[in-house]
Amino acid sequence: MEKRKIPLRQRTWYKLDNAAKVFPGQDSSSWSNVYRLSATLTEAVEPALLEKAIVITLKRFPTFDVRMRNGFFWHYLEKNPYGVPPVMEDIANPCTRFKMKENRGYLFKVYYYEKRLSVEFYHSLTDGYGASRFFMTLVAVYLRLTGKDIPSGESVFDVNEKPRLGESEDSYSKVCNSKAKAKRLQKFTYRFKGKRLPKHVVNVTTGYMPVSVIKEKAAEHGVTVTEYLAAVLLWVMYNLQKQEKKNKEKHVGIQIPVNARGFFDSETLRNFMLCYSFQIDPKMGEYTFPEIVKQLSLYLRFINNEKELQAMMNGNMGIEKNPLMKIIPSFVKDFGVSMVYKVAGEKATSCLISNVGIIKTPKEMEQYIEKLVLVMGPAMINGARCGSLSYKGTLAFTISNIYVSTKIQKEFFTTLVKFGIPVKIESNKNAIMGGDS
Amino acid sequence: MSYCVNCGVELEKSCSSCPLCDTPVINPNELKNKSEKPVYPENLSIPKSLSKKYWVFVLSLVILIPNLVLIILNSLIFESGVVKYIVGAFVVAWIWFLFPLLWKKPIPVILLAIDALALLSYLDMFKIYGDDTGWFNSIVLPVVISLWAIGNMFIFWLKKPRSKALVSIAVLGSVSVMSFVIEICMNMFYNGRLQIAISLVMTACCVSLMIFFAFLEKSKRFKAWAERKFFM
Repeated sequence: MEKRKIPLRQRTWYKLDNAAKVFPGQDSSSWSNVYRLSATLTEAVEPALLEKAIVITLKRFPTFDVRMRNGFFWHYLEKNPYGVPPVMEDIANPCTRFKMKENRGYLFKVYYYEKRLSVEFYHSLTDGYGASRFFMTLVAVYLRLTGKDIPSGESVFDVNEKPRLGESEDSYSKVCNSKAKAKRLQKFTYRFKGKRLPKHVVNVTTGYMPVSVIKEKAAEHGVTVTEYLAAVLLWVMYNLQKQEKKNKEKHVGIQIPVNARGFFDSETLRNFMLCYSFQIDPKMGEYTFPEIVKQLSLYLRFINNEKELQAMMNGNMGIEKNPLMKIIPSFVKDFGVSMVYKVAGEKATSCLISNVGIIKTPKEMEQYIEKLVLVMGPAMINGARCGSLSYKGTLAFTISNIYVSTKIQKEFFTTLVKFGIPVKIESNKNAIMGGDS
Repeated sequence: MSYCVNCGVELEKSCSSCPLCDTPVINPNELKNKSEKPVYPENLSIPKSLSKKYWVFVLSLVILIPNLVLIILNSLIFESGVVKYIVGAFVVAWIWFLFPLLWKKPIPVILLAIDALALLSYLDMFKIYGDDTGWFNSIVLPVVISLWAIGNMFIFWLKKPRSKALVSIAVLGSVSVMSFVIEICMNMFYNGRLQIAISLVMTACCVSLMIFFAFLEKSKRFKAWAERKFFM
């Protein structure tokens, strides 16, 4: 693929949104904030058709047809002169780090393996909502190219339609107008420690379970599916710390990203999410699972409102709009973010769970897709970064980390089995360890 | 379909052992499925990263260029004797901090020997170009050799994991030994007699702290008491 020459004035460019500004600074030589969406189809994927599908899809999603450039004060996104990213054979270690000069500068990577089609997104580009819309549209366009009749609707955008202005807006700037700023002082939390896998290698384990059964179990506690799964994960981390029999038990925390579109009028396909953090303090006494579910659920319901979200956004925007921060060169900002993230970033949480929710597609499309999976890239140090989504009545829950031990995965999925939820497991352990599993 | 008898989870057809607990899957009815394609391909993608050698090269250039400029300016304009000491200090810093990065698996004993030799050579430069009153042989040589010997002892001793209290005791012991060496060498050189005073005070302080750490290591009761009495 040749680089096209686009005159400077015709190169559309976007300022990074508030959340996206942080991620380039967090990057290291072996880690980037990445996540992957995979769809297993009923037939083997043809790479040539997939490349055509990307070209068609990118016209409808101009905010994805970009590369990241270095400005003097801030990074920015600029129209990519290549037109299409390379379509690559899949690898055993998903969610490897992004480098801005690789992958023809695109901030998403496209992979195929047998019947599976996967796209990895760099978080500065978009969040789970935007990524799922782009991904499902790409899958629909690909299926159309293979001769299937797939209409638009639900998560599938009409590629003949012109991109709407609101899809490329920075919703953080639009929404932030109150003066209240949320203070987020979190204690350092427990984190899983163990022998690490080699650099760039990640352990990915996906569990498939029926949505109806989880809903039933969550309803027994009067909570939502996200709250229930988050509580199970927190319970697992809490028990792992207890098993380690430390003299001083630390707080156990969980981060839960939330889609802000549910609270504010926004159709942006760029980042528009925030993270809630919840912690329990084991020094307060023994916790039972029902207690954790109840506390987590009550906390989320208390905090999950427009005003709190706006206050959190104001806090984040305040840093960005600080005059001193504005005049600091971008490489100094990156260095600062990198230092803060390495020292404190992941220490305020033991794990993260991101639930994209139910992915809806036109009924005609469902018959050609066997399963959908969301894989969060591993954390730099934390033991569990989890992604989940539901499709056709099955919830796919994936745990990623950089440790040889599969203790967290085992505890999490066996806990669900003990609670009466049937789980089907698949993993990349065989590929990364060279074993037989 | 197969289930793990240990975890109770259902497994992919391509699995021959459970990914969660490594329990082998033995299902005579599904032997034919061994030919199933694995869920993930086997090729690992390991991105190329900048090697340590590259960084050593860049940092070496950063050190080399100003030093070269300094040497040229000195030979043409300043003609100062101080420059060789500045350049020498940079060479020692390079050997101490950048040279180890060139090794894939550095051997601590050899690195320590090289570091000690570099330091001795640098200080020897002062003897050669400055006044040689015997300070090098009387003070520098025994002090550096003692430091090198203690360093080696630590390298061998720390091959097994030791508790924080034990390491503290060893460090304090080394500090008191070094205080003796330094004081004896200085007094022998300047006064010509064996006189010990400051090192005794130093050793007394170190020994009392060593006793404290030894108790802390041995007695759980004392540890509990200390935690209560000295909590902050």
